[in-house]
Amino acid sequence: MKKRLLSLALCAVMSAGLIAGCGSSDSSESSGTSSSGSAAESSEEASTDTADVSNFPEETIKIGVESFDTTDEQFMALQEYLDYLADNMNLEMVYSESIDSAEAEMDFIDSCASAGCDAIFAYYNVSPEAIQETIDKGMYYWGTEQYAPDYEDNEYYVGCYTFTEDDSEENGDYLGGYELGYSLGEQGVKHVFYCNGGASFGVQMFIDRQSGFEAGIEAAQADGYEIEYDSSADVIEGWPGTDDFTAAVSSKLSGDYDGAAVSFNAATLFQPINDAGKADSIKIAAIGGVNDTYYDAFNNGLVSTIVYDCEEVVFGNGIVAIINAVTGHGDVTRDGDAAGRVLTYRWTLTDPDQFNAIYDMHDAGEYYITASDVANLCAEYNSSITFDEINEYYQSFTLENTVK
Amino acid sequence: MEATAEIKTKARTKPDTRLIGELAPIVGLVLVVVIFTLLTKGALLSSGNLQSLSSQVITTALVTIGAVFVFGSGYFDMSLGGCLCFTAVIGGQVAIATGSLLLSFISILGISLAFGIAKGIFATTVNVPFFIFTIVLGSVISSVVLVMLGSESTIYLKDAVKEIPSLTFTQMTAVNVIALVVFFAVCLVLFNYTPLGVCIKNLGGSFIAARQSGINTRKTTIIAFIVSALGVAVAAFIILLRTRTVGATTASGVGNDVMVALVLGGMPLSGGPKSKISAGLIGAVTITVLNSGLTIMGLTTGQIQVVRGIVFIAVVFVSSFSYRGKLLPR
Amino acid sequence: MNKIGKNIVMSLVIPVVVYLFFFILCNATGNAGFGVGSDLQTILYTSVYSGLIAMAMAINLSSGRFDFSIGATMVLAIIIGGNVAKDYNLGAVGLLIVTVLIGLALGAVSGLVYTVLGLPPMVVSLGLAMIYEAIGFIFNKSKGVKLMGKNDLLIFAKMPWIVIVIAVVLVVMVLLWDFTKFGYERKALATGQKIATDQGINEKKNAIICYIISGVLLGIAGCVYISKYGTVSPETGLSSSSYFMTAFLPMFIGGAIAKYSSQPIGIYIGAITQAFITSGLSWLGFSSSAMTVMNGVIVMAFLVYTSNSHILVEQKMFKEKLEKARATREAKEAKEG
Repeated sequence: MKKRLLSLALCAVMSAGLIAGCGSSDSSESSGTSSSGSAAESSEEASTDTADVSNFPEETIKIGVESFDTTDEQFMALQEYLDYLADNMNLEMVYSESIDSAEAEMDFIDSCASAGCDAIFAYYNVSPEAIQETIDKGMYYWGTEQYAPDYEDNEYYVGCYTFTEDDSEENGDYLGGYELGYSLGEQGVKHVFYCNGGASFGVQMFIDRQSGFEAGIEAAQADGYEIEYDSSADVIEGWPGTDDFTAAVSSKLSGDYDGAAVSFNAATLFQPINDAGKADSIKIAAIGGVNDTYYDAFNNGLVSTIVYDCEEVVFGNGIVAIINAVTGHGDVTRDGDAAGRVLTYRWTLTDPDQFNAIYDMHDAGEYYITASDVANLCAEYNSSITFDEINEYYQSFTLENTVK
Repeated sequence: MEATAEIKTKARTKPDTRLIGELAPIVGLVLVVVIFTLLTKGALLSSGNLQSLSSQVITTALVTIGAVFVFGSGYFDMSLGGCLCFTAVIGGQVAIATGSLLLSFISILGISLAFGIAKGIFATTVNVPFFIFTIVLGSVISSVVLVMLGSESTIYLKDAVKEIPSLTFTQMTAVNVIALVVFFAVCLVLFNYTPLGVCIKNLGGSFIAARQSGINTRKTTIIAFIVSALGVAVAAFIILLRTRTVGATTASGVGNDVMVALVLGGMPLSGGPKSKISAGLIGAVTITVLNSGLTIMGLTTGQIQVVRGIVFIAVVFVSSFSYRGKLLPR
Repeated sequence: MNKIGKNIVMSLVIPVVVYLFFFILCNATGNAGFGVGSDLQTILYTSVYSGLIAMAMAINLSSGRFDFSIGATMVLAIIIGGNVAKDYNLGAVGLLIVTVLIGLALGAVSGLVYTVLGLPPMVVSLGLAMIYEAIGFIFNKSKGVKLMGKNDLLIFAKMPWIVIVIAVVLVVMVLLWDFTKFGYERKALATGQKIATDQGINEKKNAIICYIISGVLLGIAGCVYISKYGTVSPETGLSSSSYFMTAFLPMFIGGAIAKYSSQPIGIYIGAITQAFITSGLSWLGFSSSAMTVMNGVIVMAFLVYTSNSHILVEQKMFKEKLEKARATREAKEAKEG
């Protein structure tokens, strides 16, 4: 009898757990009351920063967001911006768990299709089949530029995040690694080691960053900077937390290095460098974000370079492209016949004042590109917008122009 | 004189908790399906999602159903994820080198069976705690895959020498359903209606008793590993067909998923007479529906983890009624 | 005295041989940094960290309970402990106490769930790992714990604190293992469950205490880890299972040489050996995957050896008996003849 009661109680707990889980997800849904003709056609100036666009677009647009590691700093910053947009516009985001394999990616896309998503925002992408699957399910796709040449003529492929005007081998991750290498050379670092993250585990993102880094070093050397780097001896593989990472870090720190380049969250190097007493002699360059992790380290000079993809600039244009496509203005996403490439610039931060300015702004929940700025780039809201104008708008956000 | 006394005995009945335990996995599955259909407003059972679910469940289901044979014999095999990855990568390399899916399938089958037989022989010859051995083996195999792939981190079928056609969504669904039904049917017959199944359950229950009863323990174990290897082979081939992309990260979550699925399906992990082949299918479907439903609902990662953990413990607790003993289990 | 000498020699022969092997090899290939100076500090840290985790796992594994939630327990304990210590300015000792208490609580929960629900420990730990990971993820909004730069808190990976930590832990563990009622009962339960419970040993209480001790050790390991790295990120999707991979080799080496001293000491010596191997292979320039393969092969070889070493002993005994029987028969024949 007791066991029966207990089993019934457990079933109740299970159901309660599920409902509790779903209950708190209601808060992530934005107000979806579609009011007709409220903020539809408008010829307002594109610079009204704080107009209320919470009812635009008319019908809620659901976007599935795919990521490699949900605890990654850059992704979490992007997630905050996307949540800000979802709160201030009529959008809804569905986030994936950490995806590393092609099957997990396909499963996520299938689930998004069943959830009624209109588009996939692929911050990370494993296989080209996933793009095909998205298109076959009738969803729009905006994401990495890895397979852009194969799909850009398809109407469902609405763009990618890119720092180059045309498709080339040198994609965003490659260029990020390049900045790491070149910037350290420029700052007078003589001998650098590189933490390559998932490159030895077959994760394409890190492989590209590593080849970019090596190209950056070569370019710095070609420009006369005396920076030394050996691609077999000066590499630390893998992720922190494993014994071999610890061993590798400590053997590097006992050498004569004065620079460290990290292709992921560099916070795990701060303490070992501090403990080795080399906080003043080693400069760290990292691909990272403007957040608490780097605040102290950047301000006291331990981290000298952050290659920062400002989430509202580099990734935000994807939301614009998606909204345009879903609301039937796909032509505004095209550049000729192919999906338009909105050129953006990444910010290589070396000045603490700029870092602090960005940090303070984001900390207060404000962004350089607000929700109503995004709305003004959508043809449904602002009927006169063209692709070239969108492209120019995002191109104007260079570090010098934006952060005063 | 005979004294007769009427002894009245109250019928001593205990609530039949064993029945609750045995039905728990099915009840769990039904509950999960019903609750999520309600929470997703029917999206879970839409025809599109059902087809997608067939693709999502197939890998876990095939490997888990095959694993029932191995776990039922009393051997914990934690290296299934590593073996699946290795097999799929070899299949991919053969596919792009020859452009032929048939050759790829043959090579996948060959490698997988070789692994299975090797593990079976090792398990019966060398006396080791098999469980820990396979955990280490799994990570060694994954690292060997990395070393094998070298700088070419991912294999894309589109790079094949001869173009390999890709399957449409409906064709893929058909392949999934046929593969699953056939494999499950074969395993069901083997496990429940042939002497092999009886031997396996005996072996898992008590090794010494099985041997004393005249069961050829070595042969039974090796056959169990072969069946498991068959499941892995078919799963690897289907991964190759569906995603056309294999690399070192392929099937990275399968090892843990198989364990979770077996437990959710009501399979006693130490094997023995209470092993059920249905555990493989029910458990795989439950975990897939759970994952799919949670994603469709749009929960955050943290909420998904919590719900998954709670559901897991709840289902496992109720299904454990069928095999509880007095002592704490080991 | 001879026996003590023999015990010490046999305990230390493995690490000494491994050290010399790598020392010679590294110097021969031009990597002079192995095993000297700051490398020894790293080896000390690695050995303490993996030694603690291996001890935590060994407590339960020797009773047949595989604990999947080791990584998740450690990560959760340090995430909560670290954030509490940071927010309330508790200092290093405060960090240690809070983390250990939380590890203790988590261990108690694991033990209670196991004993009350009566589920196989593998299954229980799987479910608990999921839940602990989830809590660690949600706590502090998936940022984990960041204590970089707070050098007053992060002392446990440095001399002399790290030596104090491991010395105290070893002394307490040896006492618990070999000189307390708990230790005797644990051994009895591990080798003969039914007999021990029939004799009246309270199995549930013993199991819960085992889990609690394991939790405490994991809390300490978390403090040591964060003192080295300054930050811990939460895990998801059972990826915390990668944390216990470092525990296997120490556990098995410990199992092999435990009879010469005591199991905790044997495990720590095993951890030192593993640290030598990892550092040596790293200096020799092997890639990370090659190192995993080699480490795995060594573990498997050790596993096979420790599980079958009794066969060698039996054969030796059999031979001795055979010799003795033969000698006796010959003596008898000589006498009669």
